[in-house]
Order: sequence, then structure tokens, then C-alpha cells
Amino acid sequence: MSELSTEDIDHLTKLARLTLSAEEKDKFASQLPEILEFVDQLSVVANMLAEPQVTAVPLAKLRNDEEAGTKLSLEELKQLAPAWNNNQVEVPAMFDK
Amino acid sequence: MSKLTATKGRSEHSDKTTAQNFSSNLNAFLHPELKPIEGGEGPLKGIRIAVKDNILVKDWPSTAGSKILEGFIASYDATVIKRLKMAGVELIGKTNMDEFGMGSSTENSVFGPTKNPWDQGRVPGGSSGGSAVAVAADLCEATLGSDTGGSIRQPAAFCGVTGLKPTYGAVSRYGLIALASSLDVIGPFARDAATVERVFSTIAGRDENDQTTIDYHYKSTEIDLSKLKVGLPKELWELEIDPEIKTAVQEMVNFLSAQGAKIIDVSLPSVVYALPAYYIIMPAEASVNLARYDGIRYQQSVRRDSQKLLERYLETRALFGTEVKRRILIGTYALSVGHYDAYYQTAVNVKDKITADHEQVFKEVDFLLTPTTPGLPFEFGAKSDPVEMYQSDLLTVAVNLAGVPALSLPCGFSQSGLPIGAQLIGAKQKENTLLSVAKQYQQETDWHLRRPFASNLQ
Repeated sequence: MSELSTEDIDHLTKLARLTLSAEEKDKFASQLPEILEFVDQLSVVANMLAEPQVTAVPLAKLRNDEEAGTKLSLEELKQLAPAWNNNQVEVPAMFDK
Repeated sequence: MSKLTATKGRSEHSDKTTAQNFSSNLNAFLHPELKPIEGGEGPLKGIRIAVKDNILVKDWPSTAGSKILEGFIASYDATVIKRLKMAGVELIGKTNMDEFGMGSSTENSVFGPTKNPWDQGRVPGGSSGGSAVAVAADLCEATLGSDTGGSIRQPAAFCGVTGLKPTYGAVSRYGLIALASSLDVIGPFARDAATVERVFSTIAGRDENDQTTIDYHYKSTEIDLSKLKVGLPKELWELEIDPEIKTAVQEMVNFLSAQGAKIIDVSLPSVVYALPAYYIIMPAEASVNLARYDGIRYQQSVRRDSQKLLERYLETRALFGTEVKRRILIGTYALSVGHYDAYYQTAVNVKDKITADHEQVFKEVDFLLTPTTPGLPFEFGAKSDPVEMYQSDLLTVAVNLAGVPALSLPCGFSQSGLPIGAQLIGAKQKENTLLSVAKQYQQETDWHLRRPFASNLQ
């Protein structure tokens, strides 16, 4: 397990699509390594554990038959996004023209 | 025995108006403009219930204590709400909470902290602090909260009420704003275990909208205390726990022993790793669940006029509070290439080991008994260091990782007049054991009947 530098935190912030205030940046520079040090206790037991599992809940249980249905009306759906155009959710362009 | 020392009746407040003023200072409720939804006919007719603000009630706001959900109005009822409405309850409002359930004090709510009615300079616990306070201050008969690492039990202990964290999958999460999906579960608070049981039996059971729910038909059972085996897990009792709390919970052990229950020292070797494993799994899942708040969905959207998607995305997500950002970053780190195996994978393996240890111990005993919290309710601002705050969950997180049910109930008071909670932990789907023990204990003691008003109005 590894250390966490200020550059690492900047990179994580970018990956997580977050914006940090100057105050948060300052705080996190000392707190995040402290939290990682705390969870690093697990490295002691990592090798003693059995077969790795991939998820916290077994996925086989989670399948359901897919059926089309109408649960919400258009008016209700429209409460779930801020901008609409012609019954479609309006989104800014992802790329520059 | 507690029956002799607790004072029955002292709790009643004489002046209703004073009590109401007192209640509004506590900041237990959000959205005060909401009109109650009247109950119909049904087995829970006459019961008034308030709901944690991360559970959807159709046509009501649901902010989860966050600025990022401002303006959002739920378009459907959570399954638990649908079931409560069918049972005839009156829904009276939404309760305050730590933002997205991240916290142990309700200090992380964007709407300001909820105060502990026993001492308004102290926290009520969290994240379901508002729900615990609403019951403690007699604002309603029952409330719903959610528990990911102790968010029902810890505030129940801090506020002197009874709270149940059900078996994972016993209650549908459909319509619950997700924190960590493999751990989250909805459960009730009330003054006594009998009311908790009535609400739990109404909301529990399979739901086609939540594939992690189990077939579960809860049945209330009268359990003979003299035939029970009670386990005291040494790894948890040996932790640094306030001596007053230890003494009060030990009194409850003595009570059970006097009723003929057999008290056995047991071991859960893996639980010492529960807290670090929890603080990997929870932020990892939270970082994924919170990706949906992007300024495109829900009503909150900063720079709606912006032509750049990324600008809107980043500036909307800047509305998250500091604790939320902290956990998203930890989760992102734990799930990134090169760290995934060392962190998430190891934590999931520890979770499996904790589950196995619990299964093993419940072959020997019927339930486990521990204190609910290592310390008494603390003062606002007392735990500014995140790791120190995380330690508040020391005695409760293993239960979520094991997926088993647990209940916190009042078992005494400190010299300073603050409530103390005991935690009963059962095998999966053994809520009936926990509730039966709690009901019998509450017939013989009156800790759960004490009200905070007398001590606060003096």
C-alpha cells in the first residue's frame, strides 16, 4: 500500500470529478494519508484470507426478468432533470465543435 | 436491579407549550412547511411516524441532508412508505441527518446540526440523529432511519430510545438514497421495543423492486429468558469503553443472568478488523453511488447555461460537503487500478470472514450483548479529526459487515444524566429473539420511559 502526495490528491480529485476549496485541499493533504494509514491495518491480514470474492453481495441473486412498464408519467419524469427540450433531457456538448 | 433505581413518572412534562418550544430548538425536522399525510384504516392507525430525509415520500422533498438535492421532489414512494401508508400510519415529516448518511453526529447536515434533547450542547449521534431525537423528545411515536455502520443504533443510544438495524435484505431499499448498497438497511426507532416491532413487521419482507430482499415473514415470538444463551464477545468488551457505560451494560447482563439466562464469553477474532474494512467498502461504494449527482439529473444544477458539460458537472459537484468529498476521494483511491486488490478486495474478504465468525458464534449462543457506543454523547465540535469520529462506530460496524440484525435499547444513565445504550446482536432473521428479550427487559425496567424534559427545563 502506498503514500498519498498532494499530486495524488489532485489526480484523485480529477478522477472523482470533484472541486475542492483551498481549505479542503489543505485539510485533505494531512487527513487522507491519516485515513489510509488507518485502513492499512488490513494489509496484515490480506494474505491470511481465503479465496478472493469479487463483490460484496453475490451477483447471482440479483437477476430479475426484464419487463417493459410505465412506472412514472412524463410529468413526473420531468421533475427528475433540470433542463428539457422536446421531451428529452438537455445536456451540454461533451466535445468542442 | 434497575427497576428499583429508575424513577417512574418523573419524566412527564407538565407544560405542553414549553415542551413544544423546546422541541423546535432541537432541529430534528427538515422542511417544516410539509403538511402531514393522514393515515387511513389499518393495524398501525393512530401512530405518527417521521422519516429520515434519505427515504422517498411521493411529492415531498428528499435532500439526504445535502445541498446537491435541493429542489428535488420525490416522484414515488419508497417501498417502506407504501407499506406504512397501507398500514394506516400518519406521516408527519422528514428528519435531519448527516449528509448522505456520512457522519456519527448529525453535524454534517447542510441544514445545521440536530441537538441532543438530554443536553443541547451535545450531539444526538448520527447519521439518523433527527429520527432519534424526534422520538426522544416525544414529537412522534416512531421514526424510520437507515443504518450503514451504526446510524440507527448509535443515535438511539445517545438519545435514550430503542432502535433496530434489521438483517441485511429484510427491508427493501427501494426508494432509499444509497450510501453503501451492500450494507444499507432501513429500520425503526421508537420509545419501546413493542412499537419498534410493530413498525418492523410492517416494513419487512420481499420486494420485487429490490433484488437483495429476502423472503421473510416476521413472526413475533415470546422467548423464555431462562432458556437463552447470551454471548459476550471479548474482542468488543475489551475495547476502550467509558466505565459508566460498561457498568450499565453489565447491569443488563446481571438482569439476564438473574432471569436464568446462561452468560458465555465468546470470541469473534475478525471483528478487530471491522472498522478499517468498513472504511474501505463504504467509501468505495459511496463514491460509485454518488457519481449520479452530476447537474444533469435531479433539479440542482450549477451553470445550467454553460455550453461545457464538464463545467456544469464540476461546479454542481462542488456543492457536496467536506465529509462527502473526503469519502468520495478515499473510495476513488481504493477502487483505482493498482490499489483495488490491496484495499477493496481485502476488505471484502475481511467482510466474509466476519460473516463466518458470526455464523460460528451463533451456533453456540442465541444472541450477543455489548455496549452500543464506546463513549457518551459528545459535545459539538469535539471530534474534528475524521479517524477519531470514525471510532464512534467501533462497536456497531461489524454487524453491518456480517449482515446480521442488532438492536440498541436504553439500559441506564451516566452520573451527568446522559443516556446509555446496550446492543443486542442476533443471527440473520432472528429479530424475534432480540425484540422479545428487549420487550421483557422493558417490562421490568423503565429506562426507556424517561423523558429529557425535566432535566432540561430546570
